[in-house]
Amino acid sequence: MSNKSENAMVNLTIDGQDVQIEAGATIIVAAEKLGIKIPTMCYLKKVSTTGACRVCLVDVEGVDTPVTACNTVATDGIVVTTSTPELEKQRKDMIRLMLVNHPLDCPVCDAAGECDLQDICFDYHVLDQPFTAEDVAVAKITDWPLIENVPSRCVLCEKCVKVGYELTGIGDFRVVERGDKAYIGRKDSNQIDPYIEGNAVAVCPVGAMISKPFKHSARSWTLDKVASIGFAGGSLEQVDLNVKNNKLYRITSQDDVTINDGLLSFDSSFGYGFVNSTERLLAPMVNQGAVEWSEALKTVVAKAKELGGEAIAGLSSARLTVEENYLFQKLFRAGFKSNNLDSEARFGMQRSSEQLSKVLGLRGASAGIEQIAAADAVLVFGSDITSEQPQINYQIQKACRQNDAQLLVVNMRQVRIAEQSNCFLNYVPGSEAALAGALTKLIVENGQAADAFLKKYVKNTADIKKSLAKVNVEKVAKAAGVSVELLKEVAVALGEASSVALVFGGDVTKSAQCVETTQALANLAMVSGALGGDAGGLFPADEKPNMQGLLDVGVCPESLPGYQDYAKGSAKFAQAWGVAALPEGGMNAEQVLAAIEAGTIKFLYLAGTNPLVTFPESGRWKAALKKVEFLVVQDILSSELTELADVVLPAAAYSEKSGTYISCDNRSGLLQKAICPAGEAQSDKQIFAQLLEGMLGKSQSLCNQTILEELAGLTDLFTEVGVSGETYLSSCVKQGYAPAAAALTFSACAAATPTKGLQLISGKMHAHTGVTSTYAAGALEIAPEGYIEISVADADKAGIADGAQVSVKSAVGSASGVARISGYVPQGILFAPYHFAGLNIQQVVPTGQNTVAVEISKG
Amino acid sequence: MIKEFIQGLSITAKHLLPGHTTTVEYPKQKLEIAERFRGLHRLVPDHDREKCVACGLCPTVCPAKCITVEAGEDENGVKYPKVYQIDMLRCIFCGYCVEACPVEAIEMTGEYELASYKREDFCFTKERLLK
Repeated sequence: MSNKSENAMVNLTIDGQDVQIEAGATIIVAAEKLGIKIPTMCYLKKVSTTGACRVCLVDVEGVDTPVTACNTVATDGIVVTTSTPELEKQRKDMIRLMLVNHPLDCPVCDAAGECDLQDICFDYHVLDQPFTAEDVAVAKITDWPLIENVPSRCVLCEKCVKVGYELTGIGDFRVVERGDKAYIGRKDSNQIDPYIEGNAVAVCPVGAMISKPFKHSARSWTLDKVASIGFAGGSLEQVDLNVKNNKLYRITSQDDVTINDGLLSFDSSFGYGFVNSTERLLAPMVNQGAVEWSEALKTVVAKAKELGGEAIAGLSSARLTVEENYLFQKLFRAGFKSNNLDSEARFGMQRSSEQLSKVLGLRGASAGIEQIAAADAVLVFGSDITSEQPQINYQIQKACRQNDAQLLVVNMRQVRIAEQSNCFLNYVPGSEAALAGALTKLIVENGQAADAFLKKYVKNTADIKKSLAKVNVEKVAKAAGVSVELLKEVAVALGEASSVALVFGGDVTKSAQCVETTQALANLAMVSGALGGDAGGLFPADEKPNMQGLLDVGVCPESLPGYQDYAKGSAKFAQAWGVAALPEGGMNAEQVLAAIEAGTIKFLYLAGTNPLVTFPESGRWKAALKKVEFLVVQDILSSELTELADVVLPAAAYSEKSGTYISCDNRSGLLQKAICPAGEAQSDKQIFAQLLEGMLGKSQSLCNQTILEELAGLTDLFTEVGVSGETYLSSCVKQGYAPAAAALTFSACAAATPTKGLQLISGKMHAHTGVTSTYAAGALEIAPEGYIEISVADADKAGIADGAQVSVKSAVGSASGVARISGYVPQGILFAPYHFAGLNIQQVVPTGQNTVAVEISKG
Repeated sequence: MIKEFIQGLSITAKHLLPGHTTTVEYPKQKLEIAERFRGLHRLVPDHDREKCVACGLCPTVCPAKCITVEAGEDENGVKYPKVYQIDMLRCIFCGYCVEACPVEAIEMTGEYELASYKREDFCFTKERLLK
């Protein structure tokens, strides 16, 4: 199936109605176009047809026997009849055969109420069973994590298998045995970070695939579905929050609405449990004692007034909405008179974003992520994309499967997507920028550079040759630990492709070489022509849902909302906010940490962020937070952090508030409030607004639209503000990206600075996101605690056994946890997920890095 | 005319005689209830536990929304009602729950003396309904 096929059309007649469809389409698609419903059990539009259930039988004139509508390609002039007494009888028999040994346990089956088999039996009045067969179904499989399989209920439609193979690409279900003994089994996969295909539960037409976290908790028909967006990964998948009695029960999605087409990330499928956690903060606290909201807020306001803006700093989060982050920076700048505000983005995406803006004039991705699916080659650079942004992975899978695209993966570890790549470059930390430079050089040398694009858009075309001349491909390959041949192969694949999608992620944005690598990737994007055209593009990926929105509203000391220079724009904002002037100066997160240590910052406000676990040098942050005179923590869950706080403000979780998230590709999505906040918790927006009122004595609107309009009036971020859409709601439209003529800069190529010795990488694992997921039972079932992945060779050398307690020590700190021997990290590399407070690997990692030289020892 | 008058009064008088009153002197005297009378619910036991599988059809069909069912799973992987509760103050004794039950796990007894002094007493838990 190629998207380049000619759009020839065929005409056919179905039940007396004429219809025209594209050549190659099946009868069922044509019928759907006419609004004729052909019953089926195994047909799923988004995967290849199976033709297993035989329920969709139709008559075609001139053909002796009925044919299956789902996988029979319509040919010109055929006359189809979808319903005759004989067909109905045959269909009914097919259903009876499916029911032969199907247990009639609908009362205890979670699928009841949304079961296709139930529906079809009802529609066809299947009330009797003339057939008998020996029941050879295997027993219920309960030892898989998160999913329970009931083979006796299975109709072998293979949807679960196909979703995993064709759409997410990483699912591991398969059909085992044959004939009547066939059932769905699971391949042995990654034991350390196993992937469970949550979408299998959603596509299962019966109750064979059951989600364990949801099992038996509610009947499907009692749940209200509230359309919202996903809480993890910067791609904003469409979700329906299934709620009842003010509790979130599960998350589902709908097909054909937006780019995710009903596919959910692991987090939405299983990781939502933190919303209902017993660890939720329920009441405001001052000095660890529960108080009224008014008193807590009064305490904060009084302290802020007493200490003055100079002594106040705040850190926000990409989990908060655009409106909330806008109010956060407004509260700080106009209310607290402090420009000491920052976020976790400082150690990651912020730096990349600055570079992309500098050299390409680009903020976020250059195009919508659906353009990845249309690309001829996809380069995934320094990103565990299946974990970081599953929706981008789905687009990559589409590109590979529907467009036969080349998949090229460049990573330090054998990440999940590397298994499917055409070429995999396993590089040594510190060589990423040089590697991108070498690829750029090879493309230019091969004469495959997008010369027309470079000539039109790049202002320093003359520098391209000059800076590439300094690159020595052989040297780079040696330093990076990859073979020159493989490097050349990747370059050829990129050069030959007519459109290239370049995806990079946390291993680039959080690395010490972030600036150089981002510039090198921008060069590569220009040379490979990724920035022009309607396929491919440059896509920075981040695991946080609103990373782009956080950057857009200027939660950093150097810029105001809409990336306006702080010093230049402050007069305009001061006037709009009705204050005399905005404070001067301002400290970023690193400087705030130093200032707390020096004692000049006495008041720290943490909104939805936990430096004790997620920030590099978390040990240093811990000492600083203990020292700070007044610590305000606004969060949803209690932790070590809230225990340190002087004031705790309980915030509403993501299903309990509304607001805008902006995806990595600049789409907006509207979060909908599905349930009331837990206990006395209030939305972050409400809290900021009340504090702002306390500081300024002026009322602050809570209306999302009003806040967005205020933001739009002060910036040129949006072309339109207003809610649109039904199932997927969008609250604003952002400016699209189009490079201006002679506006792009080709940067100098950086040399490789490969690291020596054992290196530890901290990063995201697929089941967890941030720290919140460590409060979700579903995510904990995959990984209950942190671990340190170590290669067999390194483990042998250090005499470490799988599961042994080890400690790692770097120049900035040490951490200890369980060692897991793994084939996914090469020799010389250790990997540890950063989510866990117990392991707290970030203690070991210096600021501005994600890799660090360590020593490992037993115990 | 007098004759008719006396005739009429004698019928009245007859009713005044002991043994002829239509009043049922409840609670000293109780009527025998009909076989299909719809009184207090009973959860049907099945060996050592209730027959109910917590399918949720009775709370779905209940017009008064007085049934609360929370499903759980026992150590053998069998679904059972962790919580089964009927708020008798809201119940209208329509019997739809009995009709809806796919496993005949709930029935209605002849018990109609349900008055109590405390509101909480009207909340019939699984244990009480199993008696």
